[in-house]
Amino acid sequence: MEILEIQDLNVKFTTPIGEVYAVNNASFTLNTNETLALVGETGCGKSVIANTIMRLLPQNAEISGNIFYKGNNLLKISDREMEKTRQQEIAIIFQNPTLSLNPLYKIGDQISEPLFVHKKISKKEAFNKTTKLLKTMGFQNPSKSYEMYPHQLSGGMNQRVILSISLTLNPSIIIADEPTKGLDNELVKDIVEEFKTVNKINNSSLLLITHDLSLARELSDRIIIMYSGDIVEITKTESFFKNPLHPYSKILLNSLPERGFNPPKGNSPSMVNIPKGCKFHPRCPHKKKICSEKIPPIYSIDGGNVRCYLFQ
Amino acid sequence: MKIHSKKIARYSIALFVIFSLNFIIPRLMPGDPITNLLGEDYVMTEESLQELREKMGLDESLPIQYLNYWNGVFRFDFGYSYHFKGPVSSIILSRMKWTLMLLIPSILFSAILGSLMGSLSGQKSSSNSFKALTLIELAFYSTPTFFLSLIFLYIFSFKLGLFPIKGFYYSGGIFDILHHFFLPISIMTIFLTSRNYMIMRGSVIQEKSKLYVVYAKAKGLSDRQVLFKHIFKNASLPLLTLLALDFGFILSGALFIEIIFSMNGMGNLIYEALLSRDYPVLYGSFMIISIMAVLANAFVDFLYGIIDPRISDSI
Repeated sequence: MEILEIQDLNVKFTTPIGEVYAVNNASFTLNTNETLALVGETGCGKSVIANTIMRLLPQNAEISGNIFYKGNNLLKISDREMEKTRQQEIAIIFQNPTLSLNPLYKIGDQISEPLFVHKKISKKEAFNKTTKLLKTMGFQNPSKSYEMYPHQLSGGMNQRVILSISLTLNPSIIIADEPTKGLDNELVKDIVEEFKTVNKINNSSLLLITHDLSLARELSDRIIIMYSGDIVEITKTESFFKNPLHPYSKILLNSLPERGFNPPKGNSPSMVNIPKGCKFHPRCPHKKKICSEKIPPIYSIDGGNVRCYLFQ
Repeated sequence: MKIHSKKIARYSIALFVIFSLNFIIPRLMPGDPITNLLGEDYVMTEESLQELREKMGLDESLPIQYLNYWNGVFRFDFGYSYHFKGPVSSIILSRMKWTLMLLIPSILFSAILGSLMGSLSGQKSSSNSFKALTLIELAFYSTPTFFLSLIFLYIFSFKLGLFPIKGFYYSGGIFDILHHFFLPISIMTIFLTSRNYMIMRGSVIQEKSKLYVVYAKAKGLSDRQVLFKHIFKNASLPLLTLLALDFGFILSGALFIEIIFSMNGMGNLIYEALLSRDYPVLYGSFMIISIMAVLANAFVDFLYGIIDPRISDSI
């Protein structure tokens, strides 16, 4: 059953250097209890999608399309309703856990904050719930950790604090925006375990935004590949790693260390001067004449969806 | 809350150096130190000068004088003013209360007003009404206080006759005090508010782009809650430093306002002492101002440690 449906989402930024089309005609669904990975290079619009769902984009963003959450269009509801939706229904985790926390407040108070904002709850209850969460996330001495400040903890510990915050109100969806960016391999392993724990106790859907294919493989049920603001492929994770459809997906997979570490040739296009037609055509080994003229539609093939004329 | 011995040592050294300088300067100046300690508008015969020299201990050797000087400091004895005809410490104390009455309400009001308006304006920095407010505050900030005082005096006292033109020298009833203090306090508040507003606005604009602010919003806090629960505390740190400086400047800073409203405060005392070269009063005021500045800094240091745990951890 789908819990989040995104239809024809377009996000455009007006900047001094011109208009930036960050997301074009994106449509996808997130099902209950599903982990969906949104994968692409830096700057392809993944995080913009996350922030659009949470309605956290800056003023200069122009958004069109629909985002249905349990039947409500998140782009149309009032600010007050959106405030209630955030954290209670949809929680987000940003890529830098230490910068996400306010340096002047104890981590315990930051974990219990959503409880006070959204629910009428006594201090004692909030404290108990917080220490319980800290314990589940692997803090040995929760009541002592409650009193700590973010600067006294390592980045990995702060990541667990952030995960605890996202769990305080049992949201239906957790969006994780690049949770492993800039972390070493050991910490990535920890995070994989932590997300599995989260999934076990919360039973929510996870929208995992990452550039890390191995993390996506480890955690996700389905995978979406984005290239320069376009969704180019949506498919089951398993079949993606066996048989990627889009030429870009193939090149991306070949860049994995276990497949020879072959980086894609050429650069991803600038966000201001985007190529006409399929945005990948300048780098594509299979390019045809039509590719540089018209953006291909999405074709369905064996349960997967791909935006490429090869599958016409 | 730990009280750090390092910090106490640092402040004690600062005070020690200041007090010692206060001893050295009049003795280093060219000429007889007695003229420097008496003031230049006081003339007496050579015999009475010698008598006075003995009385003040100036015929002793320097180390003995230095010890005597510290003895005086601890007994709160800063010498005798021949110009004002009284002990320096009691002159300063009687003048200080007027300055405190002017400045404490002004500093408090302006801290509250400036930080509130500044933070609201910083959060909605692109709104036109706040842009207009910023322009007004900028105008107040760049107007010298004496000019503002003269305009206020002209309009409210001279034209409208609402407030007295001159200050008062005796304490009347509470109503009388308020009546006299209304204009000077208003001007001081307007001036300090404009400065606090500018600082707070800038600080909030800087803070609000940080990730923890976005994350607070993502937790479901409303804009108001994000501002007052998260940004405000972090953004108020620079303002706190300025407030400490205000308390340091408490005794001299309101000079222009005190002169224009003919108030018998510290500013006017220093002004008169300067004109008549009354060095003992100047040294005494200098010491009081230094003590105030050091104490205010120590107090803010302490507050900083409470507000920002990163600071108390790093010492």
